[in-house]
Amino acid sequence: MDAPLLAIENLRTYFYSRARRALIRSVDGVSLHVAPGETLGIVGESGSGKSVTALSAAGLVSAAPGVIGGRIELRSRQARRNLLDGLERYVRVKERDGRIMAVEKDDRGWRRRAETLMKGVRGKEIAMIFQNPRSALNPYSTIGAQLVETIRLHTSVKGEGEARERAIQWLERVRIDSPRLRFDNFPFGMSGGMCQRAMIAMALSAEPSLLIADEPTTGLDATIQSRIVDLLAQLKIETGITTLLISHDISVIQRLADRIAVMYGGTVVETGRAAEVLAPQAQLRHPYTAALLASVPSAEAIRRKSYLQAIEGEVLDTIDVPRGCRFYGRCNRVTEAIRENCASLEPPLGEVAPGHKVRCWLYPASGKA
Amino acid sequence: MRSYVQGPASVDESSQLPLWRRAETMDLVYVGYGLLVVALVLASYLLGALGWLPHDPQAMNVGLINAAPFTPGHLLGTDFLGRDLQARLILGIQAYFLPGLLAITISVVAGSVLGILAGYRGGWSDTIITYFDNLLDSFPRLVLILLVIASFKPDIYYVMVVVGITGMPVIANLIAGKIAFLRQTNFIEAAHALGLPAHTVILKHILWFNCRAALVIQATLGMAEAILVETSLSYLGFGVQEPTPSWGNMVQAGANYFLQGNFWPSTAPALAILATILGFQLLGDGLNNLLEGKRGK
Amino acid sequence: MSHTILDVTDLRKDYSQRRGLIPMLAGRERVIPAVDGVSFYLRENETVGLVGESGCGKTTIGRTVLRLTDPSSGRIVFDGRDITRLSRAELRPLRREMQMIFQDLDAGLNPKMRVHAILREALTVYERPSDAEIARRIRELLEQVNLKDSKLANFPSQLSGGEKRRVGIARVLAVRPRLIVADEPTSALDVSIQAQVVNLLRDLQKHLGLTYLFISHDLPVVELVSQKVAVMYLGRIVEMGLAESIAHQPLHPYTRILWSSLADKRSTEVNLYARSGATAARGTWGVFDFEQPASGCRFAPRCPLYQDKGRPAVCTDPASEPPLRDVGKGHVVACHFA
Ligand SMILES: Nc1ncnc2c1ncn2[C@@H]1O[C@H](COP(=O)(O)OP(=O)(O)OP(=O)(O)O)[C@@H](O)[C@H]1O
Ligand SMILES: Nc1ncnc2c1ncn2[C@@H]1O[C@H](COP(=O)(O)OP(=O)(O)O)[C@@H](O)[C@H]1O
Ligand code: SF4
Ligand code: SF4
Ligand SMILES: [Mg+2]
Ligand SMILES: [Mg+2]
Repeated sequence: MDAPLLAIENLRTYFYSRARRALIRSVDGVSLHVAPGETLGIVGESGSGKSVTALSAAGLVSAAPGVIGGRIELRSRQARRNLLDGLERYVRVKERDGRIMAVEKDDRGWRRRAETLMKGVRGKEIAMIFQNPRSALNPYSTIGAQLVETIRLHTSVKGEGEARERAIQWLERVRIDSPRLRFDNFPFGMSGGMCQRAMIAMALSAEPSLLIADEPTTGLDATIQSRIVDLLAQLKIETGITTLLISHDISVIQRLADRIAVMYGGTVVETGRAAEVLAPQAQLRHPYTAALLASVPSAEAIRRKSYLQAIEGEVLDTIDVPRGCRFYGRCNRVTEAIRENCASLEPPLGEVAPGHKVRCWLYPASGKA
Repeated sequence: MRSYVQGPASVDESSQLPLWRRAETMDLVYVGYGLLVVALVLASYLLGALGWLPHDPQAMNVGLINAAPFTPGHLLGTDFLGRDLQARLILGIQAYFLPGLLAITISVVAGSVLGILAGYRGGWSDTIITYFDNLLDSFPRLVLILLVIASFKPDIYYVMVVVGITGMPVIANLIAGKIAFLRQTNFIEAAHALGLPAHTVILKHILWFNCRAALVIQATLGMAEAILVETSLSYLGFGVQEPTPSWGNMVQAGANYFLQGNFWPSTAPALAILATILGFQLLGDGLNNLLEGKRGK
Repeated sequence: MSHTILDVTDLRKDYSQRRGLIPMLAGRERVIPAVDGVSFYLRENETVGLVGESGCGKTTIGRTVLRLTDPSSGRIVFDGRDITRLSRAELRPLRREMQMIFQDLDAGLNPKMRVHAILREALTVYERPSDAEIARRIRELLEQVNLKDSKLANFPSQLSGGEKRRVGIARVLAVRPRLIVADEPTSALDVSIQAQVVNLLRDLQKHLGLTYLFISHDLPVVELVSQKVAVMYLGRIVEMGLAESIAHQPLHPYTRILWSSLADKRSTEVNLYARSGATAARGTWGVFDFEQPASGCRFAPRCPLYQDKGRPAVCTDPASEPPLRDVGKGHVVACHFA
């Protein structure tokens, strides 16, 4: 494997709930690697920390305490840099029984530091597209003007006319019909799918090294979703852009991702090549991944009109993180042999096959980290 | 450095803690002080109504005018006619209490009706009420009051009717806003779908469960408003007329002797006004933070 | 053959939008024909699925057949009784037989009331049961929707999405309805919770003999739970038939696009919808707009078949919007070429 373009190591991003006087462990020790040209898909239910991971990488976490630990290494064109360099000087944590119970953070100091670290990175090296495209576009400016602005700001194209031509090219590349006409459209006149295309054009026009797409199809219609997925697949071939793709819809991930990371309760519970993790006959699978896949009705289940295999229980609340495996309360694969471990010890993310890691006591390889 | 500590009460049910355990200390102080003021106002009203005063408020004592506080027999001193200030201050509440209640009742009841018509019925009633509210809001309140006084008579009840009416838009907007919020989540439609009759939805669900806190808060603020208006009018000579005492006309009467060095007869009622208005305002603010959870940005 | 519980004929619902005082007085209004001539029926204890993209009028149909909003024209017959023009008061006793599960999880859950009070209220809308009876019924409801009784003391804001949905369902079951319009009952829920709720709804149907109008975006789930499926486009039903035929032999180009988009998304998965043929249809996708409906077939601007056929004039003939044609086995489709 190539040296990763983005390497996140042991990232911790916490928030604080005043009402419950408790830390919200939204991202709790996440490590991810994205190789150049690769698409890494992050899948997991809402609240599992997908978005917060992405926002942390883009330096966009605004609530406190926010990022409190880890490394985020970005190998951009010029150099390799740690976007959390020197973070430890602004944060102090108190642990009890291996768990963080108090955080002290010089938020203002860190913010200033982070701004210098992120200079020229956000929007330029890392571009983002979000779930609700309409809210991310400026309603008072035409999409053409917004594109031209991005191009002139972030690329070597500085001339007005040249930037305009480039913008129209981008509208074409995201398959917006009659791009010269659409150039002068305001966002409100456009459908959700069209706005998302414009957003994608905007993100890519900065020629970033990394594209973060957070739920790019959620909230769009079935027919339009599949067009956007098509588009992302085609752009991936055309531009070779490295992508961190986030979705709760496993079928979107299936279609686009080379590698996949399944998140649950602020941690990665399984990661590996998408084909391997999602292969229908895969044996070494995290029980949560297996359950997620099984809860989608298969053609067979539909034909027999059988019941769906539901995951019992509730979505994990990242305030009350259990001591043992985070999935323990909902897991249907616990055996007597491992029950004690499951209940009291968090399993490590162990390699079960080359490049395929699972965080579960079921798999012997988990013993070594 | 800010610290974020996992508290011992972090486990679950903390949002079910009693109100006062969850509250910020300052809010409790506000509300405590406000309630004290309300209690004093109520007590004074009752004392005045029953005539249980430390002195005859109208009895003049020309030998003892503008006396300082702690003069034997007159705990808070006397005014320019030698009348007992303490008795007059207590009796002065009479000028506000019922008129204030009248103003509050008008704005709460009529405001609620308008708010419900606008929010619940929607359509043209919403449009018309919105325009009416804006019209009312754009009129300077004092001008309206002076107009009424000029065309009828300088009666505090007339004034309070105006105060009540001009207070309606705030309440109406508040209720229409709550209804719009409930509508957004399809709450109201779901209630109808279940078969609940309209009056249950309006009275029980909208007014009682979702607006009662806000209405109490508005009523509290309305009382402060009423006192303030009477004071301004008295100062202009349009409020409650001598010899009936009101804090407003006491300040105004005392002010004539202010320059001669007799600060007290006007300062005492002024302090009473200040303390009372502050009490109602803080009560409103504190309740707002406690009941509606407005604190914490 | 079981008894028809709901029969809807040529239902229309126009929303009119008036903004501001001047247009109101001038009587200018925009009319959105959200439902534009829809007919279907539901048999007792059966599920009809209603699919179509966002804004095509699915929720509006649900609300109109329950008379939560007044139809502009058409006829709604519930259990043999014409309810199209019944007044509010006349409707009230019928309300308990036909209920709606709203798309929004918070619908019907007063944020200031505890779960217990919410259920209690629902139980006392039509009856005056004793306290003991209420307690018994609440226990029964909790059991039916599989909710822990420790949640009875919670406010809605203290419930998870799945729990809110369960309380919402319990609240509706409290009046013992026969027909339930389930409007996207799972779309606001987490993936891992959706299957629980689908199973729950099917269980309830089996045990209580409920009839569902099941509105959803989720095509596999619709196919799974429904006996019949109606596909809507821009306020009209364009195809309707048995769930299997709609899913496996879709005739209308729009239905094909809908199902093939699903196949596309899952193309790397082996077991799902990877049927040849369906994938071939690939529409262009324009903006769809109620205010400027295409003349002739309303799907023409996005129709791949129209392009393939060389833009036949019959598709855009203003005088002939394709009617629903019966193609056998109760399968109807509105396309000249299907
Ligand atoms: N109260 C209303 N006033 C005006 N227009 C409305 C109203 N409710 C819905 N509409 C419009 O009617 C059309 C159909 O809406 P409806 O809610 O029935 O769609 P839907 O198929 O349920 O969509 P979704 O899948 O997004 O829930 C839409 O264009 C919508 O904007
Ligand atoms: N600004 C914030 N303040 C407090 N908690 C937050 C904030 N942003 C996210 N969270 C919490 O972090 C957790 C993970 O959120 P997120 O990453 O958005 O989930 P998802 O996997 O659905 O994208 C959730 O429990 C969420 O409530
Ligand atoms: S560690 Fe135990 S509880 Fe966790 S997923 Fe594996 S088997 Fe289930
Ligand atoms: S009638 Fe014509 S335009 Fe309409 S769906 Fe059929 S082929 Fe397409
Ligand atoms: Mg998210
Ligand atoms: Mg809807």
